[in-house]
Parts: sequence; structure tokens; C-alpha cells
Amino acid sequence: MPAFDYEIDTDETLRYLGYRGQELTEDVRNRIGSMTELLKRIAAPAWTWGVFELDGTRLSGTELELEGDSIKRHLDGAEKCVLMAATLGHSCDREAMRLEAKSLADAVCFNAASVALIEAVSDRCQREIGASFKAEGLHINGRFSPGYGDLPLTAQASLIRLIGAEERLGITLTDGCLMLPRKSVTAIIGLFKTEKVGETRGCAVCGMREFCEYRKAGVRCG
Amino acid sequence: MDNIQIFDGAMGTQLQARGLKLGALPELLCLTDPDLVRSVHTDYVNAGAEVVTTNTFGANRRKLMGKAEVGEVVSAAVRLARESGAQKVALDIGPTGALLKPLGAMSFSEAYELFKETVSFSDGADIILIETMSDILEAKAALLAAKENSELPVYVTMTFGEDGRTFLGTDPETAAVTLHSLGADAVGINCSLGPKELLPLAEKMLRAVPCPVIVQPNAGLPVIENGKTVYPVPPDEFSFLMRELMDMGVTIVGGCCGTTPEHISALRRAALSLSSSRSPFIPSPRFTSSRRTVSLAGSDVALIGERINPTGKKKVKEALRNRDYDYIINEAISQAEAGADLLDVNAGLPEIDEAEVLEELVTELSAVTDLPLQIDSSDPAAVERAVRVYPGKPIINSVNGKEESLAAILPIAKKYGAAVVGLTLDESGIPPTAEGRFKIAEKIVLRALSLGIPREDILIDCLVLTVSTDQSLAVETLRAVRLVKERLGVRTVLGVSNVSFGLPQREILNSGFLASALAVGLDLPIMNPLSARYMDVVRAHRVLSGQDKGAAGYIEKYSGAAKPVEAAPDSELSVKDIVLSGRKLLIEGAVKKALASETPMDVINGLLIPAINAAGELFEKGKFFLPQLMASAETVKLGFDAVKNSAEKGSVSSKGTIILATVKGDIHDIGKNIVKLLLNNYGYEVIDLGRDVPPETVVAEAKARNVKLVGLSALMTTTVKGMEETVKALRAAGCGCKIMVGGAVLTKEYADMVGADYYAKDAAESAKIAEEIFNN
Repeated sequence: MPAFDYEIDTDETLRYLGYRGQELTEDVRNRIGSMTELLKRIAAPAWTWGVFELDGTRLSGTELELEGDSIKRHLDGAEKCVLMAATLGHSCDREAMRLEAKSLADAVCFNAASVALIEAVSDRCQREIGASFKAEGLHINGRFSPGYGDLPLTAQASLIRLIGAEERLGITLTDGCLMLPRKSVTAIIGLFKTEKVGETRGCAVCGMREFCEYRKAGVRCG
Repeated sequence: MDNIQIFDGAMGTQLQARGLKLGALPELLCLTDPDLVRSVHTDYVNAGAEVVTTNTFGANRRKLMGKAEVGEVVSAAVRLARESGAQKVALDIGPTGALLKPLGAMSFSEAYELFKETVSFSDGADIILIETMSDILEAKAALLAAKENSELPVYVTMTFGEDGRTFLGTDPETAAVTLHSLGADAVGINCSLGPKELLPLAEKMLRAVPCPVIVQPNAGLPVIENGKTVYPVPPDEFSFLMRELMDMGVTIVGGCCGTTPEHISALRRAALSLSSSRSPFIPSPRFTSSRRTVSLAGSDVALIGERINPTGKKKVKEALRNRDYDYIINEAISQAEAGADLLDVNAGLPEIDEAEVLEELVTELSAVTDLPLQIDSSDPAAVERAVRVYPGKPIINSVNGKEESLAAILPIAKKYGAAVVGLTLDESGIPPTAEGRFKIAEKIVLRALSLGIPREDILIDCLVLTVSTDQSLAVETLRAVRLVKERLGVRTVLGVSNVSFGLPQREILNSGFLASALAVGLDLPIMNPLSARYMDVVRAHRVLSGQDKGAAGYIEKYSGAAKPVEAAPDSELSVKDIVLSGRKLLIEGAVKKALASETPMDVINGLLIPAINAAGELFEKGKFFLPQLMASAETVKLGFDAVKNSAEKGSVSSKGTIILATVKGDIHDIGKNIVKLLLNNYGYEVIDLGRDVPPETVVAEAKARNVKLVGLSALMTTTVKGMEETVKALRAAGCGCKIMVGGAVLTKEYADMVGADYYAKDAAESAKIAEEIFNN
């Protein structure tokens, strides 16, 4: 196993805790610090990905047809597409459960640090994908996940099967297509001949935009 | 090579090489392209495989997604395998694809039913192969389904990562011990890694169990090349490495992902020239959780924590009655941290459904602690339900010499592979002499052995009685322990603290008795590990007996300055200041001081609630953020506990009862738990229905308890629908309660749309809503 070498960004953790510039007492700082250290010991970050030829919004040689306008826009002009999945592992869910019984103050900090970490892990996976296609002269765009825009959550099942995310990462779905371990990310990334300008990720395409607390407060979730 | 059994290699890899679309369900090919499936089997038979595995890895109702009937797929698959001319056919069973409770949402019985359906079409197969399991509990469900619904031998393999554990944290020894104890005919490892990486894992299994060990590696560790998965180990290297595994004693071999008929052919050649000598199986008592094996070598001592037991414990009783297990989970955590090796779990309260509660409790505890559990109940039905869903090899506490008990409990221990504690009492009570107790012990041991329970799994409790009534009793117990150990060769258990019942300063007597008992050979004391004095005795014993090698544990614990236990300092801070600064250690002292001059309800209404109100206001104004509010709330909760502990029964009244639930489909419940803590802070009794709660459960509880307020939580947009259904169901059932809703994605508009009465934008708001409803 490679040693844990992720930095967990405290600013990100604070953001997920709803921090809005309050005084950071020593107690809070210590709590976030110790939960971040605990997370580093517990988390087992891992990812996998696979590349697919495109036939419109169907992945060639597969049975997956990506539905909706927003994914169509995301992959518009793409040469190929990459499916990726990343996770922090079941041990984080187990620890979160233990902390929720023991101390909710700790649990909320652990949870926020976990969100920061899964983002960092997804970013690293994305960079690896970007680097792999540089030689071919292909550029990647952003991560687009089932549940964003009008891409249905039900796409998860095929996505996970196509890249073996269950066998390789232990990701399973509930009947409602929620991923377990909870701190898991799946995404679709396009590969383009030209550098992609104009991000298709973010609030503009997000299905939660009408409800989002972050957005209401003028910040973003990722 | 007579004793080597050769399985086939990968099915999926072969089907893909022959044009199966990626992501399609390979099992459907049994119906749509039988020739293709048969040809894969035939190639493996021609390559030398004795056993071919049916193309049914995902042939369960859940994974087939209605695209075909389980029965037609499985029957066709078995027929195709048979038609290949293989000597034997193994019916393949993979995971359901859903995670079991409590980390996941699927119940044990749902998983069991899925497997049972597949097994029910096993006609024509010779073996059932349960494989690629990550969750030992799911493997157990499959194994029980196979054993209870067919006569075929069952092999079970789990899959391990580079850290030597499955995704759910099970290590090879624990997997092997647990599955073997449940009656698997062979246990082993498949997938994920190559033969080289699996070698040390297989060795651990060979030492832990006497049954055959099966290994089916991938053709090496998969690597991603140009976005495609590649398995790098070629047939020659594969067979060379497999030879090492067989030399070590692995007798059932085959291949998993990336292996081909060429790999199997090379494997067969390697097996022909074999002189296998198995790494020795080392018999010793082994108890497991899903993630740990506690093994007693020689004179090793293991501690069983006694604190999860309602007898004389108000808070445990309350937790069991309300089915709110946080308090008990904390008892498990603190005992583990104090040095317990196993945990006794007793849910025996007359007014509850013990069988149901014990099952639930065992499930919850297994997720958060990795210590093996001792299931403690006198009700055989409760014992069976709990051991059935327990993800490991537990101890059953207990059977005794009564005919009725032997007949009821021992078959359960045998069927589920549990160790069992035998109490030396029978129809005539507890014999006064050591010889009398030995006789009963002998009867229990002989009966257990005759049922096929191995000697290592039989533990005898010679029973400790209080010396306050008869001082000769302690000596008889110790003599009995010695007799049992010497003549029956089984390990012993004692509930140590009974010895001092009725006497002052019980720790002094208990620790003295503990030392004496360990000296005569007690193996598993049942005791309170939170007592430093008992732990001192145990640690000393472990040095003197040689269990603590080089006294490393002792030195680590006791070298350097002895830290005195910090007493909570007396503080001049007000309750409000303590709460706002979240200083949990100070609150009990402050509350006790206040109780000297005020009534319990005055302390609650005049000090604690105003303090949490102040924290809530700071939060609302944006001066506090979530971790601070939670720290304050936890402090108030401890304050409440201090009031309740010192108050007379009935002097602290609840302000009202509120039901909380995270709605069906949603498995994230941290938000609901935050609300619950805050409502508790305001003096409400909260009935927490948990997560993924169906509307009917909410309705039934709301009606039964006739509550005024129900709070529903949903975190994801996709689960808000479950919220709407629940609101509708409550209205349709004519529940007069008010409904408040909350969750990260909710808004006021959405709350109105689903028909809720109140929208709680955060936990502080939910407390205000409750105040509004209950004060009117």
C-alpha cells in the first residue's frame, strides 16, 4: 500500500462545516486537527477509471447510453470519454458511525474533512487521466457525475459495472442508487482535441441549484 | 497430485475476448448464446480443469434486474457446464451487489433469500462455490443459504486487497476461521491479487483451519494501460507461483480474472509433479468479529468486558427499552480502549422483545467494534437470532447441565460454529463442591463433543458465588477450575465480581480473587475492564505467565511517570460559560453544585436550557459554527445526565415526545442525529427511528405513541420523494401530529410542496419549532 500522502485542506474542511469567518477558537482548531489526523489513519483512498469510444452519447461496445441534455453538452465534441470512480473506503463510514455515537462535534468535523479528502482524491485521479492522454494530444474537461443536471442517478449502475468499481474499489449501490462507501465519487470526463474552455460543471448545470445552502450563501460546494 | 483439485480459470475475461459487450450481464449469455458459454467450459476441460464453474456469478434476482428469471439462467448454466464433459460442476455464486446493514441498507434475511433462490436451482451441480466475497456477513448469508437448502459441499472464497484485508476489513485468518466454523467444506481466496501476493495470505488460512484451502488468483495485479485493464502474469509464471502455493498445502486451485485455458493447462502440469506438505494447522480457541481473531495460545488470557448488561444499570436499561444504542456503543468503545479482548452482550429485560433487540444490538455493535462478542442470554430463540446475524464466530453464554438447556443450546452452537460457555449447574442447582461441579462440566463437554463441537470451542464456567454468605465457596470454585483444566483440557470462564457481592470495597476482593483464579488457570475472566485495579492484575499476570513477551505491554503501560487520574477540577465558571466553551469535563461538577440548592427541574429550566439557548443564538447570528454548537450541545447533554443520575426517579419530567426519522431511501443520518441531540438538550424525549425508514414505520410509531411532532430528514434531492410519501402517509392515516422537515437540499418552498407544517433550516430552528408546538 502506498503511504498516505494527501494534504487535507483545512480551508476546505471549514467550508464544508459552514464556516463563515467566525473566530476560530483553539478548541475548534484542535478538534479539526485531530479529526483530520484520524482520517489520515483510517482512509484508504483508491480510484479506477476506463476509457471508451463514443458513438454520440452511447459508449461504444457497451450498453450505456448517457441520457439528458447536460451530459450531451458536457461531451459535445469529445473524441472519447473516461469513466472514473474514487472512494475513501468503508473504514471511513465505519469510523463516522462510531464517532456519531461518541461525539457529534467530532463526527461533523470528521465528515467535513472526509468531503475535502474525497475531492482531493478525485482531483488526483483526474490529473492522472489528464497526464495519460497528453501524449495523444487529448485534453480533459471537468468531472460530471450522475445526478448533476438531468443526467439520472440510475446511470450509476452501468458506470460502476463498466469500470469494475465494485470489484476494484468495493463500491456498491443502494436500491436508490446511492453509493456505498458514502464517500465515493463517480464521474464522466470528456477527451478533446482542443483545450476545453467554458466549464460545464458547477452551479449552472447542477440539479440542486434551487435548493443549495452553499449557493444561497454565495459560495460553491466544489 | 491425487489430493489436488483443479478448477477452471476466468469466465468473464473469456466471454469478453469472444465479444461480450462491456457492462452487459454475462449470465444472460447462458440463454442467448449457450454455444459460446459451453465453448468456454470445454476449453477449460481440454486444458485440464477437473471442475468447471457455471456462468452464474451475478445470477441473483437483484443483479439480473428482471432481464431473466433466476431459475432459467441457473438451470441453463448448470446444463451447459455439464455438457462440457467436466468431471465436476461448481455452481458459482457471487455477491448480491448490495451492502448489508448497518453500513449498508440490505438486511441479512434479504441477502439470504437472494442466495436461497439461486441455490434452489442447483440440481445437476456437484459443488457450490461462493466467491469474491468482501463482506464476511454476506458470505455467511450465502453459506447458510447453501447449507440449509442443498446437500452439496460448499466452498467459500473471499477477496483481499494489497493491505491483506477485504474491502470491509476482514483478514484471511478471520475469514477462514469464521467460514470453517459455519461448516464450509473448503475456504480460501480469489480475485484481486496475483498468486505471489496471495501466498502469505493463504499461509495464514492454512494455519487457522483444518479444512482444505482453495486459491484462485488473478493473472497478476491488474494495471491500467491506455485506459484498459491488463493482467500481466503469463501462464508459465502463473503455474510456477501456483506450485509454491500447492507446496505449502493449498489443495484446490484455479484462476480468476485474466486467466485463460493456457494458465490452467500450465497449472495442471505443475500439479502433476507435486509433493505437497501442508503448513501445520494449529488448533487453539479462536473467536472472531468481522475484522479480528482473538486466539488463545497456551496459557494466554483474554478479557471479556461485562458492562453491556442491564442488570443494575439504569442507562443500559433505558437504551434497550428505547432501542437507542448510542450509550451501549460507547460502553463498547470504552471497554475496548481499556483493554477488553471480547465483549459480553446481554439484553435480558423482561419488558422488551429480547430476541429482536439482541439481534439489532449485535448488528450495531459489530459495525463499530472489532472485538468478538459473547452473546449472553438464557433464551435459546434470542441466542439463535443473534448468532445467525453475527458477522463472525461468537461465544454463546451459556448452556448448563440441565437436559433442557443442553438440548436447546448445543445444537445452535454446533450449527453456527459458535464457542459455548457451559455453566456447572443442573436440575439440582449448583453443587457445593469442586467435584460436583466437575461432574457437570464433564457431562457438558462430552455432550458437546458428541455433537461435533471441537474441544477448543467448549468453555466451562465453574461459577463464582459470593463469599459474604459462605467463605468456603471461593476455594471450591478455584479447585473446580483446576480440575476442569487438568482433566477435561478445556478453557475456563468466570464472572469474577460475583465473589464480593454484599461486601464493601468490592474491587479489593475482586482483584484478589482474580489473581488467585488466574493462578489456577482461569483463561477468560468476565470483568469490568474500566477498573484500573483489575487491569493491573491482568497485566501483571501476563508478564508472569509469559503471554506478554518481553513484558513489552507492561513496560509500555507502566514505565515513566504514573499519571494520576485527572479529577474534574472544581470550577468557578458558570454553567453557561462551561456550555458555551464546550468544556465537557467541568459540567458535571457545576451541575452537582447547583443541585445542592436547586431542584432538578430548576437546574434544567434555569441553567441548562438557557445555556443551550445562548449557544443556539450565537449559531443563528453566525458567531458560532457547527462544531461549536455541537460541543455546547454535548456538554449540555452531560449536564442532563448528571441531573438525571442524582435526581430521584420521577423528579425529571420530559417536555414531550418527538419522533425523528431519516426517510426511506436515505442512508445519511448525521443531520437527524444533530437535531436529536439538540432536542434532547431542551428536555424532549426523542424516539429515533433511524435511517432508511419506510413511511409505514413512521405512521405506526406516530400513532402508537400519539406524538405531537414528527421530524423528517432527507439529505439528497433523490430522497426528498421519500419525505413526501411519508408526509402523505401520516396525513392519510389521520395522524394529528405536526410535521417538520429538514435536510441539506431542502428549502421552505420544497417543505411546503411536500406538505410539511414546518421547515427547519437547521437544528437550532428545529428546537424553536418544538418550543412553539409544545408550549402552546
